[in-house]
Amino acid sequence: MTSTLSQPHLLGIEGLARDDACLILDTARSFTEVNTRALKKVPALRGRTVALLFFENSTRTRLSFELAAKRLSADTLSFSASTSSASKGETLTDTARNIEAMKPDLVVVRHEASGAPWLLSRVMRGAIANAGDGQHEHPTQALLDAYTLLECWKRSAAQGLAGKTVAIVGDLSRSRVARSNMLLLPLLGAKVRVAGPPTMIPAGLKEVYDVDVYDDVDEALFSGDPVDAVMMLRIQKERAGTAVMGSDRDYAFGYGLTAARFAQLKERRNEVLVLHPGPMNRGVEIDAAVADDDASVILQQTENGVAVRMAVLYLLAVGMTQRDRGAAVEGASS
Amino acid sequence: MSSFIDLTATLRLPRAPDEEDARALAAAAKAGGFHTVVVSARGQEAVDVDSLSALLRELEGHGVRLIPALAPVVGTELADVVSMVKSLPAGTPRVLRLRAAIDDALLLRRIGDLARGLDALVIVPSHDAALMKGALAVEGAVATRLGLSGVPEASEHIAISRILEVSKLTGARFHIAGVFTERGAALIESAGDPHVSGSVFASHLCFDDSALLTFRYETRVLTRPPLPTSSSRIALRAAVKRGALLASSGHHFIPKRERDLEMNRATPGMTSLASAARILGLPIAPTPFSPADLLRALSSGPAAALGIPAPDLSSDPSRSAAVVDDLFRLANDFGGGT
Repeated sequence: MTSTLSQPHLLGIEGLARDDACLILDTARSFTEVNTRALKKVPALRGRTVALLFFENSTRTRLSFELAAKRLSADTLSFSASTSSASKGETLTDTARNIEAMKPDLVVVRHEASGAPWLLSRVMRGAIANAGDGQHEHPTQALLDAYTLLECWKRSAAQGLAGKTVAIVGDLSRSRVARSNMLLLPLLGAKVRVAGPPTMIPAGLKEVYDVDVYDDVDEALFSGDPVDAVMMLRIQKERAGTAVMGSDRDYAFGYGLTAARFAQLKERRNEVLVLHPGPMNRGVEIDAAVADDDASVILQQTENGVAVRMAVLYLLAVGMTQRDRGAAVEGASS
Repeated sequence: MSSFIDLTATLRLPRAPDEEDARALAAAAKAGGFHTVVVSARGQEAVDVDSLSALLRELEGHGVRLIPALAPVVGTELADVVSMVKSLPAGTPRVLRLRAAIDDALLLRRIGDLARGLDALVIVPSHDAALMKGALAVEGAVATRLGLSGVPEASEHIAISRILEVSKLTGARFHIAGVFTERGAALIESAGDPHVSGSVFASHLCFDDSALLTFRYETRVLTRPPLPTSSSRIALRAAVKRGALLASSGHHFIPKRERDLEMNRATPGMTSLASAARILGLPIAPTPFSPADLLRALSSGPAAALGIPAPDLSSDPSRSAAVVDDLFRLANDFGGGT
């Protein structure tokens, strides 16, 4: 395996080679060790500038990327749409060009529009890391989810997730977390079942992803081989509107990970893991007691997110350095 | 003589130098071989006598016949629409164009009653508004892969069924613009209702939703309605060839600065009137279109829908032939094929 990514940006899991995914996960493991030290800082990105462009609200992803950049000793430029010219009508590309003038090396972007990181990759020189674009992808969330599963199951990235079954339940239509996980988990060898209300299952799902699709959550969770991990997705009321679902209570009854469903899961697989990308709607997609159960690895996901994002930033920077050196050598020889 | 008729051009009120005004639109129409264009004005009140009069004055003398389409909307007084229609010069075809799809059958019925009384053609979008809301692509593998909101193809079937029934109920003439599904085309054809015609945009004859993957997140492939699936595009082209659907430019001029926007903020629209004529050349090379197919789809068919005489191609056949020859040449420039 090489020590650099084969692509200049991390725009999504789509197109990510398994070797690249494993490289990120292996590198994250070494940064996990850094995060356990008393002095949680390494000089890997000293002199580099990371621009954090959050055009959409975020708590954990933003803090996680910021902490990751700081623990790598990078300088950070922070941007939020509510306090920027974007709120005055400036276009994304105009904002990007102005930030580009400040010469950031790495750009972390979250945006409400699917494809926004692609747009930026066309106008900015720095390496782009997608921190969530619309309902398209959230690659670092999927990587930290996979990393958490590997850690819990004491497996290396090379061993992958073969033999494990993961169920993803919720609003598959609007979830960028689901899209990235539906690509990454099968790439690492897991069997993936996805379930949600029919109004939240996008057309063509089986054509695009190597997953089994259910509109009955009980069938997804309780038929066939026992599920090893279940990932509950947040109901995204800000995107979904009210027309595609009934009341919160109806949703919890039909699709939530209730205490009763959780008990049945444990009967089938006692060591079952529960994941959630957060923020949680307790009592809707997940029962509060389940979220706080020992089987829940939700806080581990958050903790692992820092190491995974350190790995992503570090590897993008390494790739950038190598390309710059290559260009310099080419320029000198021509 | 140019011989094409476009039923669904949209004119923006000028706000910036790179936006299209009436003069630019007329010039583009001439260049594209259009002698008649039905035009709606965006950004203008639905009933605005002064603006419409100014528009008509501006369009005079450019050698292209431009027919203003009025836009009745919720809140418009019936008396205003009637007085506006009656203020048009004698002989001007009467056209009402609904800017947005209307899901309310009762409201559509009232518009149909109004149109029948005025002997006006109603141009309507082909989709159901609620199902189309926020959609950037047709539901399916492409939309799912790119994380774009999708509209189910059923949206069109629902809307066309409603329009067909309202036409029967009121006796009004409807033209369904922007048909984008195989089922929608089949429904119009099988209904065989002489009061209901449909058209497909040039862009939808030439491109399908795989263009969204090729030109990933580029707004120039963003259209309303969204680009069809591959199988629908093939069926739409066959329907145009059979004469079951008309062809239209689907003209929607987008200023260059809007091309830099994210997809969910950009105005849908990919063609200018002149470029529509150019890309309509694509389906005729090498087949399935013949020059006669294309002329019917772009001239006599729309004329029948409008209730006006078909363009007289015999008065200067060499010019008409030149227009069609020009499309073949342009098709070759594009590399031909599909």
